[in-house]
Amino acid sequence: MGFMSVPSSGGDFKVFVAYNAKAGRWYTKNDGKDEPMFEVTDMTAVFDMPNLETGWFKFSSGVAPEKVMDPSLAEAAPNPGTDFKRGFQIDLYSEKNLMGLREFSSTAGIVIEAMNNLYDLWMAAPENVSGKLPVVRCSGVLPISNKHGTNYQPTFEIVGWTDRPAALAGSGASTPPAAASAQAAPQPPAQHMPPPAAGSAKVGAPVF
Amino acid sequence: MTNAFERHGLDHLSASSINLFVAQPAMWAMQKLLGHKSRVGAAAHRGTAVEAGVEMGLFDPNLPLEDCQEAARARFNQLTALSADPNVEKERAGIASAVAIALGELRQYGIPGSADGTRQHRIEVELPGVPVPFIGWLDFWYPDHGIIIDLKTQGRLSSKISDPHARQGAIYHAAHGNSEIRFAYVTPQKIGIYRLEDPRTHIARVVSIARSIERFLSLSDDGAELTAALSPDLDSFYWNDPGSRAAAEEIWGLAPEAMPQA
Repeated sequence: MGFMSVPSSGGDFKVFVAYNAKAGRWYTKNDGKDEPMFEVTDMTAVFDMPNLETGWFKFSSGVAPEKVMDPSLAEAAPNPGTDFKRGFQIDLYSEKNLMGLREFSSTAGIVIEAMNNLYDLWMAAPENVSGKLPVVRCSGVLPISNKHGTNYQPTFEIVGWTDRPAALAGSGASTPPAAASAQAAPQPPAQHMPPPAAGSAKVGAPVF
Repeated sequence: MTNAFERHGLDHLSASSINLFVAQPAMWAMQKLLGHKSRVGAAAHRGTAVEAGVEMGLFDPNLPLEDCQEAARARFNQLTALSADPNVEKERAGIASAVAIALGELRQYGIPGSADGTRQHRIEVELPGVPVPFIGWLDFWYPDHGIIIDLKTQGRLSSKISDPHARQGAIYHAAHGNSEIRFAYVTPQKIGIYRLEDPRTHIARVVSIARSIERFLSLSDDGAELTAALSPDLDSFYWNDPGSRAAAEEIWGLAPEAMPQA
């Protein structure tokens, strides 16, 4: 079902939510071995946009996906080998619609494009800098016909903003920094710096 | 006694050099130790071209935007005249709007400082524990504001300063300790200007990388032997240049049919 295999439960893997582009529908499962997939009828959830990651993914039937994540959104990791494709992964949370925390990843071009559009919406939103996370709804699907036949591209919209849920704790702008080093910790988006006001004093401060 | 850098004819380092060593050590060795240069693609030329147009508009704030855009396009056309990169047209299409967006924001900073008739400022700084200096060029320095801005063009806007860019900014900061370092990321649609936080953290990494290079160079005085001890990642875009791939074949003896195509 869907485009990625079921990760084994109880390990480091999060339960996933999958988007089937052929059907234009969302699926997930309860946490636990051999739990059946079920359709997510209302795909509305908190998207952990500050911790969106990109990288190389290799989905193979029957085994957990192999991933090599990029050091940052601006710096691609080296291609780890054949059959790896560019993709993204992000944590979503909805107790009501997803039964909790779910990981969403995809290497499908039309899904990546939809996420790119959502990313632009999120970046442009003034609430972005507040540390709140967007509540995102898949408001519909758009049929895309090409050599692969007809697939359905999800359409995302931001329907609200919320404080970071406890289930998404451990990363992000509104979470107190952990003891981990600054190098290892996921970084929130940087804030745009406005130009200095006319006649303002120097902003730089000696460090060395 | 000369240091390992000097024994290999390297009298300085730069941000791009240490970042290349981290990302693609085999290409670093091929370029720095064997002297094989690599041609860059259309995306890099887009950056050079946009910077040319923005620089023109910043130093002459009354110059019409259209003139700056035309200068950028002309620079791009010049740089890509012989390019076989299939992305040339795509990159060309975004140049004018990137120049407009960058100038719209950066002209608010005023006119950058210039020195000795040059618009870009050369910096040279020695870091503790590194036997050769770091050399670089500042894009736009605003001494009145105490701000240095480095312009980066992108297809999609970064949400933060990347680690390689942070290392570059940390080197600039070490050279101009009283200045704040900002990176202006510009796309054909938008611009984000981010401040480099805590340069000290990144300068420590710069020194660590430089020492790794020194240790690597200390293993042998034979650059060819050092280069041959590495292996190129030919799947990476770094190796898209046919000339670099041909050089890789010469150095590492890769059969052409075994080399993945870009």
